[in-house]
Amino acid sequence: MSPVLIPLFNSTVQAGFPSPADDYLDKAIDLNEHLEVHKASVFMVKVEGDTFVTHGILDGAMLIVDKAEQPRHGCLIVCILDGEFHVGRYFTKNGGVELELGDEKPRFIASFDDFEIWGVVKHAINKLL
Amino acid sequence: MIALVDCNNFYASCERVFNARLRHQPVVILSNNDGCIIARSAEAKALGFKMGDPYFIVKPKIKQHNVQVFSSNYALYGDMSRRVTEVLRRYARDVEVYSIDESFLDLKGCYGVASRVDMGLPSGVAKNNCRVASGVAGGVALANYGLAIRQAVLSATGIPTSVGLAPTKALAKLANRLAKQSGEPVCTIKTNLDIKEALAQTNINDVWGIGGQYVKLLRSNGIATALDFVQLPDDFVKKHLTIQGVRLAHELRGLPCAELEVQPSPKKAICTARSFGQFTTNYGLVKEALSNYVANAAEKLRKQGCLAGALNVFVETNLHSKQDEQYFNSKTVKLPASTDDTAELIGVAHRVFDQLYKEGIRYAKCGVILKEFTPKQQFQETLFDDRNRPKHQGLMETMDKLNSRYGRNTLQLAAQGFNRKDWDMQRNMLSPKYTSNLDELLTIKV
Repeated sequence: MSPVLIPLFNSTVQAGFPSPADDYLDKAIDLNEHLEVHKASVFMVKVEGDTFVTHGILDGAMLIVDKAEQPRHGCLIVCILDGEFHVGRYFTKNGGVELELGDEKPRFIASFDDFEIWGVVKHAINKLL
Repeated sequence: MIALVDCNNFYASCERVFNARLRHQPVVILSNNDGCIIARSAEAKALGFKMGDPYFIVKPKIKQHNVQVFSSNYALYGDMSRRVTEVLRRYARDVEVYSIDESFLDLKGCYGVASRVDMGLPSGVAKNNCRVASGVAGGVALANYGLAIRQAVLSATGIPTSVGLAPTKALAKLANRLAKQSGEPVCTIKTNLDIKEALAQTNINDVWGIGGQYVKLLRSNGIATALDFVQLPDDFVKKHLTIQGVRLAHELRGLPCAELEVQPSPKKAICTARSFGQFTTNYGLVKEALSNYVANAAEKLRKQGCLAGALNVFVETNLHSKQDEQYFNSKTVKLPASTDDTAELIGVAHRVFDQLYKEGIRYAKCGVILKEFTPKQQFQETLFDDRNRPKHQGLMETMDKLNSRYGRNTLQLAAQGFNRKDWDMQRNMLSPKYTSNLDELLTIKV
């Protein structure tokens, strides 16, 4: 058998065709941007307990809370009641405020109550694995 | 118009955002190593605790009044300060972050538009040409703008602030002080009458920019208030208080002289020095602590884009101790080539330290000062330099990138040791890093 000589090209060459996707490339999804995590009024808070499982918040979940957001009827808020932090559902009723903490019935918040809205819960992040 | 916004009892306020039970209790914050009081809540002030009170001396009084004590949680305070500043930027053309809890705002163009809107006038007018009616309407609009700033910061961060508004920085500082004194959140100085009244109400001791020696001098010349001061002829002020004094006088009269410092000026020397958590005679421990301080200083040096031409190391014992042998020593060496390389600087620092270390001495503190800076681009090669600089440059860049991404000291030199607790400062009453550590988030039980 005789050897076959194959030419060796010593210089490099751009391999392949340009990607058809090049003209349509979008930037990658940035969760920090989507959840507004670096906004001045956004804070992260951890929840312990499963009272809000039906609201989609599992034990150990991380809540993204916006302190500057205005609460709306039916939203979840982080609040301070009698010096303690709570998560609760906020309701407006007849010009007043009602708060539902977990399984309990909503309670009316009087002007003399030691109550303060800390922030509105915008997202809950549940770790599933 | 300039606004001076400062946070009320900043450190205590930061702690209160995340711990509601502190809101009506007296709170004090301690300095590095839990040494002395550096911040107090209003209640603690009322109980008589002073700035600088050593903790071990006031501890009995603290227990007696059930005062809540915290070590300085700089990670938290720094982050809260960043948030406050971000809110302020929305309300000003420029912001000068004067300190961790105080900022100057340049309101040129901003407040004018806002007040036209307040008064129901069309807002589509060129910003700089807004002429707001002076007198009551103008004054009220300005005050409302100050209140809007305060409300925005409070709602976004939970930090209460006081706002002083005036035509110059010095007057804004005055206005801020008057606001605090009167218990009002906002104070405006707008008209000439406002300026005169504010100056008359301000004691010469309390004027920002006039220090102790100058106060003595002025008092001996019959100057008692800021008003007296601005009535002095410029020649007199220039002679006794230098040109800075003249600028201050002009500013207090309502003529802006000082620009907002939007970029901090680059440092000419960088010092990192700390007291140890406990005194030690151990050569290895002090050397390790020193290595860490050098690494810290070098990191700051690189951030500034400079090279250091000289390095100073110092060691000292506890100056307050009566029974310990007192020892202070320091030495400065010129570096063979200007550098910003941590490894190289640690090597030099070690050699200097070996000359300073003395057996049997109980060391309380050590530190390093980097000096004689040159800009990085102006690096001069020397004839006898045998170091592979490009290679070490790459190493430093990589290290800085990793530490910036994954946290302080993710990557460090072996000389820095593995257990910071051996010499790191004591901070026994640190609150959680609520905003910078996922394991230390505010936790709510539901």
